[in-house]
Amino acid sequence: MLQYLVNGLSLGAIYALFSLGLSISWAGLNILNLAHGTVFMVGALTAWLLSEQLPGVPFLLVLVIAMVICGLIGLAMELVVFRQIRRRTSDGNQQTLTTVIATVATSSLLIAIAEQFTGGQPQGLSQDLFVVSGYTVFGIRITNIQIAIIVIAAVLSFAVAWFIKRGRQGQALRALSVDRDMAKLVGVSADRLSALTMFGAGAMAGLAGVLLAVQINAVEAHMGEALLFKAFAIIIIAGVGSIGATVAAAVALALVETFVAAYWVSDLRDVVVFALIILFLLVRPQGISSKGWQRA
Amino acid sequence: MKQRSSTKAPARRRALGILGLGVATALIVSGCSADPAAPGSSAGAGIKITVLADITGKAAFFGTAIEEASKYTVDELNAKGGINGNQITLTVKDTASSAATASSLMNDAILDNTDAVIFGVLSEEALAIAPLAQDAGIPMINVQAAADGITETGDAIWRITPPQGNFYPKLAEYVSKQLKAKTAAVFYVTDNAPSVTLATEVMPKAFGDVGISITDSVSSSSTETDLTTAVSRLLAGHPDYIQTQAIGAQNIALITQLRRAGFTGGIGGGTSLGANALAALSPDQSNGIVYYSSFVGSDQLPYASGNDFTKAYEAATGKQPTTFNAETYDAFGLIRAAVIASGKVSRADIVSGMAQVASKGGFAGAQGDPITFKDRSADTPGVVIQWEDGKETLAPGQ
Amino acid sequence: MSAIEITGLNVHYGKVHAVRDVDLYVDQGEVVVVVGPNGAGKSSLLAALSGLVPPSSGRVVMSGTDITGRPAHRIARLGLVQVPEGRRIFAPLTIDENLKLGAYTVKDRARVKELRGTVLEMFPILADRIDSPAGLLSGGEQQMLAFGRALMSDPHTMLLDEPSMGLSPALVDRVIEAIRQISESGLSILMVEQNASAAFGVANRAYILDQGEISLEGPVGEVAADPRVLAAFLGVTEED
Repeated sequence: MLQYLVNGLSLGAIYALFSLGLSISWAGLNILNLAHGTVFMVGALTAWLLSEQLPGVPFLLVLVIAMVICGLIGLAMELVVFRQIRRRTSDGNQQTLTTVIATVATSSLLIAIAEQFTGGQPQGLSQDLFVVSGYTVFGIRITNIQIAIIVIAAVLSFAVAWFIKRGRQGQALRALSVDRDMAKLVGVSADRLSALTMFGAGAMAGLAGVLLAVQINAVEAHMGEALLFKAFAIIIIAGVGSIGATVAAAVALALVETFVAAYWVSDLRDVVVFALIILFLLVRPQGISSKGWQRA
Repeated sequence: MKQRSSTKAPARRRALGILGLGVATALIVSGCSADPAAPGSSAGAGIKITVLADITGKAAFFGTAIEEASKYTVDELNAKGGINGNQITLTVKDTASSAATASSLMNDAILDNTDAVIFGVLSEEALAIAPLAQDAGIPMINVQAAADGITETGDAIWRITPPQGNFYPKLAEYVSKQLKAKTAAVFYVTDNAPSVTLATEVMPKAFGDVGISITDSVSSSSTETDLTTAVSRLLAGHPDYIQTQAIGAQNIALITQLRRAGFTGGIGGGTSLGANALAALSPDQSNGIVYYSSFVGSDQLPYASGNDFTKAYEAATGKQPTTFNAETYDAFGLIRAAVIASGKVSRADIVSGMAQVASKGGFAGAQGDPITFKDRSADTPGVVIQWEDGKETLAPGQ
Repeated sequence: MSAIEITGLNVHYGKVHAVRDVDLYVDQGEVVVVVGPNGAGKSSLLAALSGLVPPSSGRVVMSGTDITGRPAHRIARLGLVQVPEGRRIFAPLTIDENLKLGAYTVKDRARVKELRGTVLEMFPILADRIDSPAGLLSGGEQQMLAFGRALMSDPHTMLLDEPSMGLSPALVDRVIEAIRQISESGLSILMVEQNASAAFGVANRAYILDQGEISLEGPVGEVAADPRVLAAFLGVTEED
């Protein structure tokens, strides 16, 4: 029982790290980034490549490099794709749709590049990158990477929530999500803030990618896809852009999945998850948190 | 085989396939008037074999193995004077792991007076091109491509890979006698039909026959990245042995997490485990893991034709032959046996020759002596392979 | 030196020529009103000034600095602030957060505190509900918040786009009063309005904009007395 609680918590922490960036770019910039899962995979891939090419490279350095690379991918998507789309179309719906399609294209491109590195095969991570050791406390098994994941996710969630609620740029981002032109009129550099947001969202996805890669000891070009759908479920349940609710929904979803898999039929976990999404869409389409950025 | 994106584009592939078929038909019509020479001819005129393989794309690992083995085999056969005096002309084409590309290449082969086609490895491609081959009466021998409905297409469509279900009795015997296991648990993925059948029907029967009880059967979707709960559940019944029927990255994750959780019992898997997962793991995690296959690159096999192949292949290429190399070698072997049986090299003669080979008890090859056939699919019992220090070895006691 | 000086300004939206060769200036501390019917190009004129739309030709000089074609956020940092049509407050954010965003360009924290004090003194209703979402305010209160947010940027020039739009006559009076207060604090103001009678009450000079062109300009008294203006703008009261 407690064992599954720990398993669920560490899974929820990965979900939270992954979902936050997706939720923020969706809420703040109206970018539904279907390449978020792929950016996550690039984080994992970077860790694998670095540990293969530079045996003995410190884990922290790998973490930072992966975050920077994934942040830069987010940044590049903003500069090369999203910004150009915004310039060329003033129609909001058209922008949203074109942006989504562009993220799908970016995702395919990144996966194709990744497959060049992996040879289309799953790759195991070097055991030296991060020595995983397990502890048994009161009969519950927990590994150091699980502890690290839970702690990092908790700290980052609080930091992001604070940033969005109180931070000067966080408030500007919320203003941007409500009314982009008005935000410019009060002096917010929409372009710079969009770039910053995409960098941050990418870096967080990359961080989650490295952590999960270490936990499962495997890297594979399609590893982000399943997570993307889970993140949609979480954001739909939580409400777009609400940080606290997103973290809560991430942990709740992970616990539901874990307990369904543990005590019921294990392959029904996804069925339960997607049934929950449909239920929420029908009953409460705005999510748990009614204080979404777009609504009063 | 990996089936992950097989749901993505069947409609598109079908559309492209139809388009390709249309273009091909037009070419056949115009080609016929221009060149009335019918495919196939008498002995000594040469034999044209086309290999369509997934050299790039998601199944690139397997396609590359097929390409290498094809070149090796043709060199070897031609050096010995060809097949019945016919020198082999080999054409290798990359299907890019795409059914649309495979269809258009198959049409090229049909127009190109090719006498026989060897294909590998994805089922989704085989399903698309087998009807084209059958219509043209061109013999097609599949490497892997294990889905139902491929060899059923018609008498020209054969498979050189035995069904995975064949291998379970040997694996069960090994787990019982060598690993002394009394209990076992199994992990499988629900979105891969062969994995489900093997884990829920074939394995319980084979293991039950040797007195091993199944403690738990845990499943997941093949895209699931979280296996912590699956691992906890697998270990909850304290099994002596755990069998994984997962795909790709999940095998790596599962084995790593089982070992990290302190599981010291035996771990086993299916044919693709060695290629797909174990090479990616460190030796302390992967040593001793067993899996079944139709072949292992060993010179300790209980039949001479397999040992001969291993030694000759290693001498020529410097590499230990894999299952996929061996199956490709045997695909050529089947064509050779068919030509010898029928005495001629036309498409129809090879098709009828293959039927004769099967009805007369098969032929000697890398995978067995003899390699027998059932419903146009190879029917050998396979071997149990043990992974040691990054190499496949024949597991002891066989 | 004028607070704003526009010469030969043209604005195009695709093939629509919204603003044609407009010359206009606002002197330091002046209140200038641009009156014109719906679709005359008033909002396009302001959008070009504040940088939301790049002008196709012409020059915009603000206190001696050429700001033609600069992006909106840079112009905002130079002390030109716009109160847009329809208020456009950040509805889900609290009143406090709206005001903080108004001061986004002000780096000096002490100055922000000072500005906040002034704004809350001028519009006490905002102080009473400082932590409630701005979207819950009434239309008139939202207009006060929009003024307050604009003043938080410590501007020297304010652009007002239809400040009386959608408000009851009593609230229009309150808005005009607020504009007078703001003007008395030393700001230069350029406002565009359909509601000419309300605007003329507070302005020093007026321009009439018709189909993108200035058709009449001068001190409010003269413009208001022009027969064409009497007929077109003061004879009817437009509420939308």
